[in-house]
Amino acid sequence: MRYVIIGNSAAAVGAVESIRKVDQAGQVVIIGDEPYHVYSRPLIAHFLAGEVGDDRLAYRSADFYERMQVQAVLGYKATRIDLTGQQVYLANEKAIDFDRLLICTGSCVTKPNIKGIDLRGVTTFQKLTDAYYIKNQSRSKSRRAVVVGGGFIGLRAAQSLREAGIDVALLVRSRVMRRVLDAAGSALVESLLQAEGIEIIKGRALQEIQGQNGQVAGIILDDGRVEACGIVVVATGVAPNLDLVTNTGVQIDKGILVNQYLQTTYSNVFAAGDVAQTYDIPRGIGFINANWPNAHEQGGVAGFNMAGARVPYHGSIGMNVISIGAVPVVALGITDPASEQQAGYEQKTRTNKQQNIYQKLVFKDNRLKGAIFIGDLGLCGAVKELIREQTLVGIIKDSILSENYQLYGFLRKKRQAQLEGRSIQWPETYVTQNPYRKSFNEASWTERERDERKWSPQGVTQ
Amino acid sequence: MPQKQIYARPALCTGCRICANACSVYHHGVANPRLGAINIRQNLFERYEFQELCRHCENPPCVNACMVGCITKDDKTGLVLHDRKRCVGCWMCVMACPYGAVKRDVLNKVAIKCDQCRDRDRPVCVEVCPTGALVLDLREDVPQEPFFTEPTIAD
Ligand SMILES: Cc1cc2nc3c(=O)[nH]c(=O)nc-3n(C[C@H](O)[C@H](O)[C@H](O)COP(=O)(O)OP(=O)(O)OC[C@H]3O[C@@H](n4cnc5c(N)ncnc54)[C@H](O)[C@@H]3O)c2cc1C
Ligand code: SF4
Ligand code: SF4
Repeated sequence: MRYVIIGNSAAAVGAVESIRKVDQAGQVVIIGDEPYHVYSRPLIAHFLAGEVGDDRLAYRSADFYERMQVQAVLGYKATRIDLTGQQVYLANEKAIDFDRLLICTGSCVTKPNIKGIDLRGVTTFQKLTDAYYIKNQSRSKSRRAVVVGGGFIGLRAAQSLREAGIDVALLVRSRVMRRVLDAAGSALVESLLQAEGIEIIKGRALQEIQGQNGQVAGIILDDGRVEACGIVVVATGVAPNLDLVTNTGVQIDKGILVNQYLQTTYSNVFAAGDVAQTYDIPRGIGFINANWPNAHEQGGVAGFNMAGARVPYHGSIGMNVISIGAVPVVALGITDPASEQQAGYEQKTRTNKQQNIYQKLVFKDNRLKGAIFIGDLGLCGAVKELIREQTLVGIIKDSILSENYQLYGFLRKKRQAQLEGRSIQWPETYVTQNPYRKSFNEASWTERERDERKWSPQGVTQ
Repeated sequence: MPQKQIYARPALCTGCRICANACSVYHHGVANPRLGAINIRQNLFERYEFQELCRHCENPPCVNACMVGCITKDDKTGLVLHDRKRCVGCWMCVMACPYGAVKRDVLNKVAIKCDQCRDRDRPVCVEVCPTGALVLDLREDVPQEPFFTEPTIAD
């Protein structure tokens, strides 16, 4: 059996590890267009910030390919796939045969087509090469940079540059992390970023990049304003790398469509990671959840299926973590019902302005659909699991953020049921017909749980 | 593969946090229960218990989540181990673990995770537990224990 994997990152590593658990004899080939041993993409932000050296970027140890008996073809781009002839063509016209193919080509940023985009100092922030480039540029040139795009990657770029001691302006069209946070969460994150010394320019778009002797000198916004800078990092318009499969008969929507065994239209061709459009558990539709954990897990499941073990993939949820200063931000699943097509969402929030705490849960039909934890991570892992399993949680809706004993009791019962191999699902009718009646003042009870209660006589007699 | 796991028997645990302190002293040299990799939230009066301790899962979500690759499942021992030296404190694993078993060392920006004191015969927490509530046993045996009974009901 000959396994060929296009892409050399999270999903590819997951796949190789799974394949080798099932099949020790088959040949495995990894094709990657980056000339590096497998490295951790998120770490390039830490590298740019100067937190880690480039000796610590490896995702797996240096002997990974030998240990896994992988033939790594690095530095060559795959240009074409012949699906019926079962061959992958490389940029140097060499053909590689495959029995099973995994496409995990990830995503890339397409630079907008505006004046000055080809100047020196204009770059994306996706690959290690980009990080080296920005590092070089910032060492010699300007002490000011503009990051275009307020998504996750834009934020990471801005933070890293700031930590490296460069003045940063973040250009955001609507609000920061629009796709993963709601408006209140974005506002809090924006204020935290500003406290870190990152300037945020909101509501403006990039019109033109000015240059001097081929080097960036500044940008012009759509209101005519000019911002001087020596580096422009473009972090908008992240899209999956679909070039290889367009017009080949492999079905694509936003990403490559896969079934629950991560097979594409062709049963011997699999897709995983940022290119694959998988079942999104909270939304219940196909969706691209481009995160490291999803990529590694999908790669792993695809690997098992490529090697012949039938392992279904349960689906993905969006999960993002970012720390701004000392404040951790976790966003899971659907966080902003306002931007969803369906209606009928219910929300619960907890805010503490002084301590930069903002927590939010999003429910629909008595199931958890998403959550935000800023400042206080609470039991975010358990909440993630409740979202992943779509457990009916009507009965504990009010207990999750206050972390009171009903939540613990519920989790305990759920785990017991799991160990016994059955699942407890609270019947919906039960939740609606017999609403849980409080026998005490829930608000004051919660305070007491947290030892915060101010013992007023009124509170006691309640 | 037989995988041993630490767990607390609710009927014996008083929620005293001596285990967390011992863990912190053994691994970090300071008595700070927040630096312990174990935290049994136990409240006999309210009748709840939640065991924030690593199960060394068979298919660990934290391994998928760690983008540095510093959490690995050891094939020989079955332990899920964390390499402090490479960890960058991104908290992906904190978000991924369904049991809240990964703690955060905020000052040093590294994650804290149970290694079952692999350089010792028995984990320190199990050794110090004054009521004998903590046990290190095979995973298969865990469900058979009265693990989930209401803590007020006798063992
Ligand atoms: C700066 C940055 C920070 C991030 N931080 C986080 C984070 O903190 N947490 C998180 O969960 N996620 C983070 N992400 C997202 C995460 O990196 C991705 O979700 C993950 O890398 C996806 O892995 P993948 O294997 O699907 O694809 P990728 O990592 O994108 O890898 C695809 C590989 O395939 C190669 N390739 C593409 N086309 C071809 C071709 N035709 N021939 C040969 N090779 C090809 C590419 O060069 C690339 O090496 C971050 C991303 C960036 C850019
Ligand atoms: S840290 Fe959590 S997810 Fe990882 S092995 Fe332990 S219990 Fe499982
Ligand atoms: S905090 Fe450390 S161990 Fe956890 S995912 Fe990040 S790098 Fe890995």
